[in-house]
Amino acid sequence: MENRYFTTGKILLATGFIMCIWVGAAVLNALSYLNWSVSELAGQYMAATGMIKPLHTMVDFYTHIKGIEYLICVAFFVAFPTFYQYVNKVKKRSQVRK
Amino acid sequence: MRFFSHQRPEIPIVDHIKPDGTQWTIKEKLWLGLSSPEYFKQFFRNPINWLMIAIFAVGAPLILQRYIYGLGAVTHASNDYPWGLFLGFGLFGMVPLSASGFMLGTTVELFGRKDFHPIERLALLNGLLGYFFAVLFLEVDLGMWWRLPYPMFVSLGPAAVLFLVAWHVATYLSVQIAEVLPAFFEWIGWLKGKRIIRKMVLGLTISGIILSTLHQGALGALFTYAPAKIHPLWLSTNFQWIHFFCSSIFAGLSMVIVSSTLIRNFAGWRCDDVFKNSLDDITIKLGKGCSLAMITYLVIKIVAIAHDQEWAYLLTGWGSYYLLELAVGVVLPMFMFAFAVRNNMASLARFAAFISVIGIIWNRLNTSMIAYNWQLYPEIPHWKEVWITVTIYALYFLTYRFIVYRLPIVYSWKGEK
Repeated sequence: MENRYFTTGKILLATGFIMCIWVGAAVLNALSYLNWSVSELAGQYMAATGMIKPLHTMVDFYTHIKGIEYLICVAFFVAFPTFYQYVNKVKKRSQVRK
Repeated sequence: MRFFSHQRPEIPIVDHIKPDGTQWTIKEKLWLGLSSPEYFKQFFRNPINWLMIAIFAVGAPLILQRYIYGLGAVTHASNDYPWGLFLGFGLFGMVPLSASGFMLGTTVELFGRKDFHPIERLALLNGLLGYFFAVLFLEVDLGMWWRLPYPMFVSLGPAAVLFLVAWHVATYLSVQIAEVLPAFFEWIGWLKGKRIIRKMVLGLTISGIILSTLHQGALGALFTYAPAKIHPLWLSTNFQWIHFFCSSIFAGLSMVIVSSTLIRNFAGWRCDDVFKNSLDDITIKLGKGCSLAMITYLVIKIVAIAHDQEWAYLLTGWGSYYLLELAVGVVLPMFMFAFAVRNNMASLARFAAFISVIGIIWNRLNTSMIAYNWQLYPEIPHWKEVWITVTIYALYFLTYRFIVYRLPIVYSWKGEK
C-alpha cells in the first residue's frame, strides 16, 4: 500500500516538474520575442485572455468585472483553506524509543 | 536600570511595600525607587536619551514656529497637497498600528483566550498611546486646538465622514483610557477604582470593537472625498473602507509583536517571568493571526482591481510601484509569518512583524501623499515637517517608555490587587 502511494507521488512530482519546464521555456521564449519586456508580455497576456478589452455597454462591463471577481473568489475558496492548513500544520515530534 | 536592578533587591518596584516594611510613596515610584542623583546618572548614561535631547532641541522651537507663524512656515502644504506627514504618517499610519487594543481586548475578555493575558495590557497601552498621539499629530496639523470640539458639538456635520471619525476617535480614546486605568489603579493602590472598571470591562470591550471597527474603515472612506486625485490603484471607492479595516488587523498585531520585542530586549529588567516565558508562544500565535489577515487583505485588494477594471494600470510605472508595495509589504511578511508559525520560529515572526509595520506605513503614505495628485507634481515634505514628525514620534516613544517602566504593563503587581 505504502509502495503504491510512493509511486503515485513520484509520478505527480515528475509531471509537475515537466510542466514547470514547459511553462518556464514558454515564458522565456515569449520574453525573448518581446525584447525581455515583462510589462509588454503581461499586457499581451491580459489582452489575449480578455482582461483588457473595449467594453461598450454597462451590461458588458458588469458581466466582465463580475466574471473575473467570481473567478478570484473561487480561487480564494481553494487558496484560503490550503493556506490555513499550511499555517496550522505543526510538525509532529517523532517518538524515540530507548 | 539593569545595573540597579542587579544591585538592589527592591528594584524594580513591583509592590507597595519596601523590604523594610514601609510603603513606597508615589514620588519614589515615579523615580523608580532611585534617588534623584541615581536617576539622572542612569538617564544620562543611556545614549537614546541623548538622541532624544538632540531631537527635542531642534523640534521644540520648530513646533513653536508652526504655532506662531502657521503651517506654511514649516510645511509645503498647499491646496494641491493639504495632507502632509502629520496626517499621512501621524494619523493614517498611527491609527492602524493602534488596532492592537481592541484586537487583544476582544481575544482575552470576550473570547476568553487567557493565554494572551500577559500581553493584553501592552496591547491596550499600545492602542491608547497610538490613538492619543494620532490626535496630537492632528492637533499640530490643525493648529487651533481649542476649536477641536467644534465638529463634535458646535458645528455638526453628521453626513460627513470627518464627523464620524472625530466622534469615534474621541469616544474610543475614552474607552481605551478606561481599559488601561486598572494598571494605574494597581500602581497607586486604589483598588476600588479597579473594581469599578472591572465591572464595566465587557461593555468597554464591546464598545471598543464597534468604535474601532467603524472608524478604521471610516479613515479609508475619508479618501472617497478626493476620488479624482488619488491614483486608481490606491483608491477603490467601494472597497477602501474594508482595505483600511482589514489591513489594521495585521498592522495592530504586528505592532504589538514589535513593541513587545523591543521591551523584552531593551527593558528586560521590567518584565516578569510570566511575560518573558510566554512571549515566544504569544508571538507565534499573533503571527498566525497576521498571516491569515494578510491573505484576506491581499485577495480583497485583487478583487478591488478587478471590480474597478484597473488591470491596465498594473502595466505602467505606477503599477510596478503598487505591485512592489504589495509584494514587500504584504506577500513577503505573509509567507514569513506562515513559515515562522509552521516551524515555531518566533524570531522570524518578529522580523515579519517589523516588515509588516513598515509596509502599512508605506501604504498609508502612498495613499495620502505619494499617489495623491499623481497627475500633478510630486510633493516633497519640508525638512521642518519631517523633524516635527520625528519630534512628536519621539515624544510618543518617551511616554510609552515612561509608562512601561512604571505601571504593571509587562509585569504583575504583587500583593493586594
